[in-house]
Amino acid sequence: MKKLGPVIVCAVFCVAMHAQQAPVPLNSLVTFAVLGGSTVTSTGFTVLNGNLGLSPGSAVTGFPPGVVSPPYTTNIDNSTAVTAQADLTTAYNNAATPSRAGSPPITQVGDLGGLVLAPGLYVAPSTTMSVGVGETLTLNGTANSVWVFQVGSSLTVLGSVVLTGGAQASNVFWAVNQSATLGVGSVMVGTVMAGASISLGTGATLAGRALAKAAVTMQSNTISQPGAPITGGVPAALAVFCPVSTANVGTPYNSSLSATGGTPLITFSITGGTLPAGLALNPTTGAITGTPTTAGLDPFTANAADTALGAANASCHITVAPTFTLTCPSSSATAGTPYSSQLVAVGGTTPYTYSITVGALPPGLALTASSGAITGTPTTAGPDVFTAQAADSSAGLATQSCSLTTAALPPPTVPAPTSLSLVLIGLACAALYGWRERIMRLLGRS
Amino acid sequence: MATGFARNPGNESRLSAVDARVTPRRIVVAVTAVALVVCYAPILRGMFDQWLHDEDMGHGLVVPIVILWIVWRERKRWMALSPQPSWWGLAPLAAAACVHFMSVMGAGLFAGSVAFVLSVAGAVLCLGGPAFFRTWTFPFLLALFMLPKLAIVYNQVTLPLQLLASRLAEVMLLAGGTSVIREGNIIDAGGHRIAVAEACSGIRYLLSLGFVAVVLAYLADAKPWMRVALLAAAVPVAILANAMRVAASASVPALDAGALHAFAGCLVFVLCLAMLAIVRHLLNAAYAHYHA
Repeated sequence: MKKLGPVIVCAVFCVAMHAQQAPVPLNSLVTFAVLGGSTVTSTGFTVLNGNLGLSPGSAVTGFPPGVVSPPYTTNIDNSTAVTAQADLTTAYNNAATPSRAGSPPITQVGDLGGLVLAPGLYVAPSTTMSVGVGETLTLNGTANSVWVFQVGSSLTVLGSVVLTGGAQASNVFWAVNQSATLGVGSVMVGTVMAGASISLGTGATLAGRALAKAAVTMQSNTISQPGAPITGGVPAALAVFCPVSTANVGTPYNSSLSATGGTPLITFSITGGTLPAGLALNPTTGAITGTPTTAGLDPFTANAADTALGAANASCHITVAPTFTLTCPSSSATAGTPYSSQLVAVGGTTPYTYSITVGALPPGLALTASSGAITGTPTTAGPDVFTAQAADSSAGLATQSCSLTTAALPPPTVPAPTSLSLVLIGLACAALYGWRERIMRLLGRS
Repeated sequence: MATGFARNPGNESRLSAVDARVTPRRIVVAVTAVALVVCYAPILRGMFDQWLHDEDMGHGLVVPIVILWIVWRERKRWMALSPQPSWWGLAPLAAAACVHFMSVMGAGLFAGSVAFVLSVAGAVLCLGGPAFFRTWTFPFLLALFMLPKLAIVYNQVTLPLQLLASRLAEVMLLAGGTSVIREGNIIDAGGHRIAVAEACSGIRYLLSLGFVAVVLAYLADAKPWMRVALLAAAVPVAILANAMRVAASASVPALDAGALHAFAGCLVFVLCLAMLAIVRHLLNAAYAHYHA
């Protein structure tokens, strides 16, 4: 036993020296897909499956057409964004610490293309790291393996970074001192934390996060935050969740299937039933977009599948309601003449309540809130523009901008007396005139 | 007509000799009259409807009565004539048949009415001869006043008359010191606006005054040309009088509706007649001076 003592001490020391890297503490950043400091700019149809944040700047452009999939939100210089920026500083400092807890740093040449890397802390002496066009960096490990890359200057990924062996995107961290660039069509995994900016080329996908102290620039990208880092065990079971279940005919619909757990990348499909006419599913992002054309209830089965051949189903439905619309009353009236017309709402849940929200009816007219009837006698000529609103019993609202032009009462006409009366008067006068002598004689005799 | 001959006091002895022929002639006249009424019944009903319902044509109700009265008044003249049936009467009858056919085919009430007057004239010429026809010329001409409105002419004339009445009323108001703004047929006189509509165009004055002028000339003057002269004078007098009525309605708001408006319209018409009487006196004076 005396001879075994030094061996046991050495073994314990060696295990301690080779303990795996701890995940970087992200705190509030877990739910973020994109965080910027000065600006966040998107061109094209970018999909973020995670929160969008910006602080201290306030210039977020490109959303829409870019979308932040529900239930995630956009946070522009609010308390959430401010907290996230503070957490980014903490997380970056943690990831960039040369002597961070865990396995010792591994010095790695800057060109990562074609390499297969085990979990660990990697440092590039050249201060830059890159994956060239057509090249692939493979991160091979288990579900709780952690990779931390410390990049002294810039990171450029023009090819692909893939995970094997059950490795999780949530356990990959890139601490980039300056800027990170993801090339056109590149595939990237992990949480990218940049001291300056992050730029994604057209069509690049990131199963992770783009967190920058300065600008984040995107071009038709898909960025999906992978959830909280996994500190042990297997990834959570894959689950798929339904999109927003209500839509209206003629109104653009934008929701998405969402998934948790599983092994990225996750693809979506409809395995039973159909989406309402006019809607389509993006299998990569899960976004369901379009404009419904037909009212009705459409049940369907949503499916999500991950790269570890896991799958999940959910029974969903989207109820497409008729368009709740409001029709304006007759647009012409005449001053001094009784007017009667009606606001007409259709497609909502009766009963309706009508109101004028902006502007006013012409003087002399009044709206009956329960029926939408507009009656009265306008007193003043002129055009009147107002916004009418109908509220249905299920809190639906329909508004319509209406105009009602009141014409002045036409001036009176001055018709001549009827020709019959004129002729009778005329003949009487003519008779008096023609027979005046005879009449005078008669008067003289009498 | 046969009845008229029988009652002619100057020809009693001669008529008694031809009593045997009177009855057939009466029958022919009666049959002709009935045939005309039957043939033109739809036309006559249409004319009557228009006289009843069109305020521009109400004088048509009076015209037949005046014609019949004039025929009766002139009975001594035409009863003294002996009938001389003429084949020339077939010409207006044939023309009337053609016009009536056109009316039935779609030419309208006016054509049918013309056909009716032509038919009556042709029947008189056929049965009574040229002498009867000449005696009844004035009633036939008066019958033109009961013809329905010819829409194509009426529509062409009404708008110019409206605008003319508006312009003349504007001139009259300006001459009277009233500030006037005229927009087409809308007159704004010192803030009081009126519209000179179709019924204000003066067409009623024109038709009514024309008819009364001819009757006035017939009653008051033996000279046939006086009827034409007064009819011609009625045109400017009616137009001026109507413009005066419009101007009065524009300047005095109380006159633009109600009983006062109707009274003013009738009063102006009486003034028109007075003007025609003055014209007649002037013409007679000129005629006497020329023939002195």
